[in-house]
Amino acid sequence: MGRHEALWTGDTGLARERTDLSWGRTLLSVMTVTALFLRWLPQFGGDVLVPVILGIAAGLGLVRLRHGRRAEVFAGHGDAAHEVIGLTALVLIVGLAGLVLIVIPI
Amino acid sequence: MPPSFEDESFEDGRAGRFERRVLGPGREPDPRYSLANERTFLAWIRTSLTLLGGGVAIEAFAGDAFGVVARRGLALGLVCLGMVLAAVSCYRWVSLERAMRQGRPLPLNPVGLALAAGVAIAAAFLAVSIAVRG
Repeated sequence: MGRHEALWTGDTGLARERTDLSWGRTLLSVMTVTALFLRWLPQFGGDVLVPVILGIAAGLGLVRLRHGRRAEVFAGHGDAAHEVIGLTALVLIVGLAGLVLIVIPI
Repeated sequence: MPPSFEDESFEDGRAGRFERRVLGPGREPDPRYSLANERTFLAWIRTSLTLLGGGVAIEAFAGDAFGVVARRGLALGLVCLGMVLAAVSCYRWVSLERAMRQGRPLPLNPVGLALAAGVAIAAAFLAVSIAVRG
């Protein structure tokens, strides 16, 4: 029996499924928050589309990164440093864009 | 009793340079614990996204429900709180991952208290703004 087979013996796979669902929910949240920026489209024009497109593109990029990591997780390598830091950077950029759009009229 | 992973150290060259730099030395923990850490991080990030979304929505949709200063102040406060929470949740993920890799006890989480205080302040600010306006 290989190492990764021994690792997952007796495992239902639900932990991996919950983690996948958790990523899906989070990326949907990112896209929902960036979609709120569209409310400012009439006021600021096309500039508002930058965070929206960035949010969607980064979300799809993270989905792809996550998909590529499934085999690694199954082989017993659990860390998600790239995804975690990438997602944090994305949220900070979205927050910064929000701050700019809130502050500009002042 | 989960299987032991003592043979899976960073020294075996499987971890990339980026992971070594972020996570430091140690041995890979049971991936199920890493997955649990990842889900906890994601739950915190969703909380921060909720705060970000709340701040943006207040500025974008509240209109004249309350004064401009109160509206902008609340929106900026919520967005800033959300950004801080996102950064802290990433730091906490790294701290927990490092602790697991080095076999140390997991550090306490002070974030919940800060979040509760921030949300309570925002709610009080909102209540006062509505009361003053009404």
